[in-house]
Amino acid sequence: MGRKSEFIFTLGVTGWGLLIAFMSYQLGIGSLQQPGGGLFPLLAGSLIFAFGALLLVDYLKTGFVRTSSEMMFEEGGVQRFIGTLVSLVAWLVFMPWLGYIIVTFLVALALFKVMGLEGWLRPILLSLSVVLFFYVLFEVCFYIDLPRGILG
Amino acid sequence: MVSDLHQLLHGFAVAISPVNILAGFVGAFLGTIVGVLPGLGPTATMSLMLPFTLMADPLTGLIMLAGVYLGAQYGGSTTSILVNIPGEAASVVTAIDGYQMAKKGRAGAALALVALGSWIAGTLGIIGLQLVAAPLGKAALAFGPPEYFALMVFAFVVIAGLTGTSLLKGLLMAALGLWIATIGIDPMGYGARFTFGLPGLLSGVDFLPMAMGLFGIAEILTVASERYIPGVMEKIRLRDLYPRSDEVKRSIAPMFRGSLLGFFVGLLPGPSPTISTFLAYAFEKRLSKNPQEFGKGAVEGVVAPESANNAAATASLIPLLCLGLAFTAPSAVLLAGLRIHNIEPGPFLFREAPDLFWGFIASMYLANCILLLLNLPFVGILARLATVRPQVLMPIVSVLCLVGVYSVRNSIFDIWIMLVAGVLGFFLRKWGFPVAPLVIGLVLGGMAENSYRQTCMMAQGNLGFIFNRPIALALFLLALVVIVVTSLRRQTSTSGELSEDA
Repeated sequence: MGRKSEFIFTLGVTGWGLLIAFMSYQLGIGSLQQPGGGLFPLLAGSLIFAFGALLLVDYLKTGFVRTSSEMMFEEGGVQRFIGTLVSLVAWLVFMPWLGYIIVTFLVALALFKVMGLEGWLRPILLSLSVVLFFYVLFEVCFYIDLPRGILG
Repeated sequence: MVSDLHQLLHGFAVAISPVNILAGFVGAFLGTIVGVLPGLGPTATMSLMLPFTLMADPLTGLIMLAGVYLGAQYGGSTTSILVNIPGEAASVVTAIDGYQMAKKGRAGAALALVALGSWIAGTLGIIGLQLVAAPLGKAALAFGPPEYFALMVFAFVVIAGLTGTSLLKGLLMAALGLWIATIGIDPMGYGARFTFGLPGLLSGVDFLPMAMGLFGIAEILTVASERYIPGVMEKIRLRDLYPRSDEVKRSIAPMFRGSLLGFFVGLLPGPSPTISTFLAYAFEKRLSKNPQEFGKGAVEGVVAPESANNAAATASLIPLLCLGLAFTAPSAVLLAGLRIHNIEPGPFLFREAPDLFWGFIASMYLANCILLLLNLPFVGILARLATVRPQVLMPIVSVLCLVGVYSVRNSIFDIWIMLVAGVLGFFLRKWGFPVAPLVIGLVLGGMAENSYRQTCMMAQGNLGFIFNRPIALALFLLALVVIVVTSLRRQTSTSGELSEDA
């Protein structure tokens, strides 16, 4: 990872800037007297392209010498990162079907374990507390209708 | 002036209601807790609190957010002093001498003096806000679209130059924020822009999921990617809690100097609370008769930066309230909080919503007093929070992010936006792209586009038009100067680094 991936990201953003500028032009830029809907995005897209291109030149000039001081992922970090992300996406995908209570409990439990909380009793009790606390806060105190899913 | 005082008293009458005091207390308490917890900073907490402000009226919500902001500024110092882990960037300098004081058994005294200094700084900052806000607001009435546009360009350049390690990266992020702000239906009626066939994007990219993603989820992912190293906390004994008379004597002048310096730095765009701490520390060291004590537990090195960052945090609200412009990431969240309640701050705010304007200023006094009351007796308890492990904390914050964003519009699409923003924020951090210019670009994008369009229409295609607007011209030139100076300074420091390496 490090500086090479940073270069690829910047390259992607620079290309994106160019695409925005092109799409903005198609939206219609109007004239300076009567600006169209695409004029300001054209400016933003052109700036993204220009700054991105300058950054790329900077990377090429320094020849990838300066490497990122901090590591992208430390020991076990990739697994924890992916586990966290999958848990969050799971909440998003299953919450409307299974409902707030079941999904939040399972996702909270998964997150406690992914983050490395030892044992099972503590994570289960903590997950139950989290579900209950946010249920009372949002559903009871703030009248937010949280989906009940199969429990409803 | 007399009328302003009268208005302020009216503000107190509005602010001192049980609900508002409770909101201020909750905000200050949560802000302090979050400031104590390493990782989540004031911006992330304020973003997390935004959904809750929807449940209250605008003033109450704003009071809560202001309490969080001020509380987080103070709370960050606790972990700096006790564990040598700054809760947020503005407390980094405090750790230098604060932790050394703690090692000498003076942790309690340092924390008590910081609480007192923060209170003095906050109060002086609010008095300054009260004195400056109204005249500045009146002067801002002379600002037309070209001046507003120029001011925003200037702000973007300064913020991009001061945050992160590269001016280009900062400018790129600001431009990206401006583009994201254009997504959705064009307010001038030119149809949908950049929605890519997704109905969820027609109403634009909402600030709340973006902010919670870029700050909250990105922080969770960052913690997940790193190894947990527990900090060692210094014990506080009751007899050490109170500062000695010589420590108090040495602290008073730095408290006032730090407050004044912080206030003026806070008026400028950029991460002013953080910058003010470095300046205040350097200033005190230069003034000190014993500069060799700095770094070894000099009380001036703790009190001055902490006073400065609190005063700067308060002063950074002045551009927000008077011009409607957010120059720092936390004030961008406050701006979003106001907009959620359909309130557009700016020169007309204290004419059109005096209750809100003066009530807010009065509530800042209250939040400041609440903070002092809260922090002095509970220093020991708050310090223990610093030992809460991220394995316990982060899953709870994750659920808060998910349910918090969902509760605003019952929208699953908003949560997708938050997750995408979170992943983006994680990689941006790792690659050294500052997130603050993106957030400020996103918040000010709509206003920047309006001012830009109006300026174009006023100019009628004549670029020489700008020479008839001296304020706008001066701001554009200043922005140019900042770009040149920052680039040259960066080039010098880069060549310095390279030669050192060589």
